[in-house]
Amino acid sequence: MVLKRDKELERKIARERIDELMKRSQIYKYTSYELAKRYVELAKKISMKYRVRMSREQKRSFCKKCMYPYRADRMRVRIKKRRVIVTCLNCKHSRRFQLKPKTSNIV
Amino acid sequence: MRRELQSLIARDWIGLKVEVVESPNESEVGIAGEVVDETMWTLKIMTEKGLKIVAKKGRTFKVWFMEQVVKISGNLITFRPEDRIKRGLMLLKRAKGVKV
Repeated sequence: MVLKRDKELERKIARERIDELMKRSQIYKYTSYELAKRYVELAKKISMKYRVRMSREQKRSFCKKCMYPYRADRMRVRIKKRRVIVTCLNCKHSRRFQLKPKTSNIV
Repeated sequence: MRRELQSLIARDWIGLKVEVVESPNESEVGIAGEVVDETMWTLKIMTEKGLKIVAKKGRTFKVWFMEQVVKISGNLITFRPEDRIKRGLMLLKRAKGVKV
């Protein structure tokens, strides 16, 4: 009888590792370019391998092209026509986020 | 004991404090610091004297984890960091007498 993988346990450990690696990449983004990049890449690989989704904040915290976390002095944020456009100044790759219209409290 | 083993073998060691206890290379014994990166065959350790790259195979490491100190042979962890979760758990399951 072949040994069964415990996929739930693997996913649980994978979630913890992804959270910790993304946190470490935020800490190291000012000190080491390669390490911050490596942690983001590892988090992405773990997420793909064990089919664990990253949270929306985590997914939006780094550039998808160069895998380097966004920093205040290396990114450009513009708002145009109800969209936020974020450009990574390392690789000039830009991406857009849709803004939802805010529902007012006045009825 | 099984919880620590499971948590240590089934995860990469990035961020943990580590010391080399035994090694076929005498000048490697005593290297201590925080693990900064990991590959299939090596650990990159940041020591006071700088970044040291130490192979895993054939070495024994002391790891500080969850307020405990554990001695682990490097032969058990010769996997890529993204593979460690799956392969580490399978290794523990195959070992006789260990309940995961």
